[in-house]
Amino acid sequence: MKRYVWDVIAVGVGVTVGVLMYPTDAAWWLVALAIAAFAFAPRFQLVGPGGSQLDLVLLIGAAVPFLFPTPNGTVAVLALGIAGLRAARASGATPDVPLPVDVRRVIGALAYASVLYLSGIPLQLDQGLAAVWLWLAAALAWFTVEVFFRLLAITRTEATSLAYVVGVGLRDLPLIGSLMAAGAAFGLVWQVSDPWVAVVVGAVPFHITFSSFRRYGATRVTYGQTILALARIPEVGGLALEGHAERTGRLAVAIGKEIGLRPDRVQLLEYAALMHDIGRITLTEPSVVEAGYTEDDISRWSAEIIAEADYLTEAARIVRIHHEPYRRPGEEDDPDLPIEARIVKVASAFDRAVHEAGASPLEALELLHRGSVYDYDPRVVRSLRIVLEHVPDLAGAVAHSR
Amino acid sequence: MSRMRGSISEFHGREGRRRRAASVVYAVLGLGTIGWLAGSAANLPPAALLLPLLFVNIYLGFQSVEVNDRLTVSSSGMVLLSGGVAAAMLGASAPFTCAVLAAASAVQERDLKGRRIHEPIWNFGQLAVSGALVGWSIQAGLDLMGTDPWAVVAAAGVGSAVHLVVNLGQVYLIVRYVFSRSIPNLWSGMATLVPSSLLVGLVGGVLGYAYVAAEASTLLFVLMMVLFLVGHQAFVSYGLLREAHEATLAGFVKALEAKDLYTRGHAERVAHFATLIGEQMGVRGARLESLNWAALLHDIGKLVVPKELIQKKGRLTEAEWEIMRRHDHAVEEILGEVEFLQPMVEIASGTHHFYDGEKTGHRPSRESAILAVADAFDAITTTRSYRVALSQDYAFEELRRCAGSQFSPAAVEALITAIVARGETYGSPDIHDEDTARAIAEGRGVETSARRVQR
Repeated sequence: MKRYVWDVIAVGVGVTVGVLMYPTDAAWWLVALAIAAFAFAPRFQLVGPGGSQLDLVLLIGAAVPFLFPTPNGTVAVLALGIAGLRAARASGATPDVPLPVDVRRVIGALAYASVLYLSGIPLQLDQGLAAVWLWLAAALAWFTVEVFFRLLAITRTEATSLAYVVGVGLRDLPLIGSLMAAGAAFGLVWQVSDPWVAVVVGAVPFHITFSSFRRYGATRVTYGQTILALARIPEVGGLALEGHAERTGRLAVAIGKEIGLRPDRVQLLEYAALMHDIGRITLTEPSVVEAGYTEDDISRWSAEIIAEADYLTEAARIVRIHHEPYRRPGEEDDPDLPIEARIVKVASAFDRAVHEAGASPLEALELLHRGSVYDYDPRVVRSLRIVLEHVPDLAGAVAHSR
Repeated sequence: MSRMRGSISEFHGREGRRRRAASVVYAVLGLGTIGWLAGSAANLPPAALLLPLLFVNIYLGFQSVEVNDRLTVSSSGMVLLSGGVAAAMLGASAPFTCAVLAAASAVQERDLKGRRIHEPIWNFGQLAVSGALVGWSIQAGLDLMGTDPWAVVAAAGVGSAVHLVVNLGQVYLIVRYVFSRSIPNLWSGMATLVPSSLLVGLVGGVLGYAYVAAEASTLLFVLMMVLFLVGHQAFVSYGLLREAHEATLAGFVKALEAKDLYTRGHAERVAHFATLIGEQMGVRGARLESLNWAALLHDIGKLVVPKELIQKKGRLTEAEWEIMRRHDHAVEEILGEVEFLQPMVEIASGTHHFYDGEKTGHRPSRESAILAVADAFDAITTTRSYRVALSQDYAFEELRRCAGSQFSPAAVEALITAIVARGETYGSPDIHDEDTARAIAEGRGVETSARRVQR
């Protein structure tokens, strides 16, 4: 119930501002079209390479200052647009997101429009290279607002470091940039040529970008699923702890985000964590089991299998050394042991303690603390504790509820 | 040993001379075209238009990607048409602009990596020529129809059609002359490219028109370039990730197969045959890709079966069968978790049901039928624990004999057609019956044959 109160307030404020500042010199149908475009923009959404949810709101927002080239007009259309967007979301016509996400968009769009008006580009085409720099400044203003507010949102619900959030933002920058570029190109051509020319200029090149990113996203999901499926082979054969790979993967990712790894390293960490036990497949051979084997053998077998895929060489290296202690008696902290390997070791040990030995999460953490003289890097253990405080489900999540 | 690739090396002697001859011809042709156009043009395009587009096209050509038979990226073609239209509308020479822009995309990354000299030269020459013709057709179109947006679109459409025909035609000529091979399916392949290239022409033309209509606005130009480059980059990273995915599957399958010497390379070969059959039977695009991946993974359940069982020579006991069945379940469970492979779960279990002799009561899907044939063909033409490899002719005969009962006749014929057309041979050269093959494996075979097989 509470969310509808906020939505009603948002729609009310939007409509009020829109009516008060209504651009009387603009065609009514263009305003109506812009509102409809805002309302249905979230139907075309995709996940950026950094993992953030993006949709066409950015594109339309970037076009508005060009389509309604007065400060009043821009503010009014943005306000009406957001009212339409919230109404559509509340009615279930478009995918729903929390109100702050849309508010963040409006603030970003206003920042973008303000920079443009300071320079006055929507009105003048002949500013040459100066116009380019000003537009880039405007786009950067919007981007900064997006990243800043997202940071606020994420740090409140998850334990995620600044480095990770900024990294995600930077990975999504090209996509966000092309959404804005498509919107601006559309608006610019609208001013000087036939509407259909503007549609072709804005929509078609953008469509190529959009579908490429969508394919990229889909392939990445597939890749993750494939790795998970492969990682589950030893589990299916009863050679490894059921669900261990998936849970270790999730814990490791959470720790990686908290401890300040960049998104590409987190990705690598995830693959390494998922596959750290894949070498157990070798245990189908009775001769191997009879001869006896150590943790080091399993790491080696796992790494040998993973290294067959060139793309995963780095993950193989992490898996190869992941069981090593982070320091040995009488020595300093081993500088050659990458943080990812330490994370995999801690996450795996925690999961084993809980799901194999039957310890409670607290007991398992206690066990890791006790082992942190040599085996478990105290930084990683501390990070694990923080992560579990934020998302307690991580400890007990059962991988396959079928 | 089997040959997985086409046999370009067979023509080596004659080919060397022809390569050089073609390079000289195309270098002269390319340079001559551009030089002549530059000299004869009344007006050259403004540097502010030409140079950025030139750099963009060098980049796009360098990074060109081809994802699968349906999906090629043609951003450089779009830039070419935009540049031609913009130049023509600004009163500059469109043929010159297009020739230069097209030639700029001649050098590809894979040429540099492979240290190839001739290919970039051929591409330079043929692209310059086809670019010039595109430019002419745009200019002629605009002279004829005027410069309202619809006329521009029409002219650009004609331009891109010219581009397609001239470009592919020259590739055909080069391949035919240098390698003495003709490209099969050239015209049908071209037909599938027509819609996308017309779209490219339309969009390219409209972009060029919009640029001129917006008083050659630098901002619009930059925005368009952002769109092009980001889109292209996204496409490139998509292509790379796809390759990584495939390489990962292949790599894993290889590593995991290592436990069974007799089936080493089996998954990759089955994937190769399945792709051949699929192509022949008209499976395209993403479905063909999924077929390939499913073929790579089809035997993965074997990983949880102890090695002794897989390599056992005699009959399996009831308890051993139980373990083998766990293999089927494992496959279904694992594949079921990969979304894109879910329709393929049937394939994995389907082929095995055939060997069990248990009729499942329903006809297997097309993909499943393809996979069964590919799997059987590889089994016959490679050495197993109980017999050595048989000849390709025997395999064809055997597949044909079982077509209709065990195998889909269409898939069997597709495989035979594809392998014969590609000139590939698999299996041993001279072992044409099952008994001899078994005899050799058991060590009581004919000396000469055995030696030949080992080689």
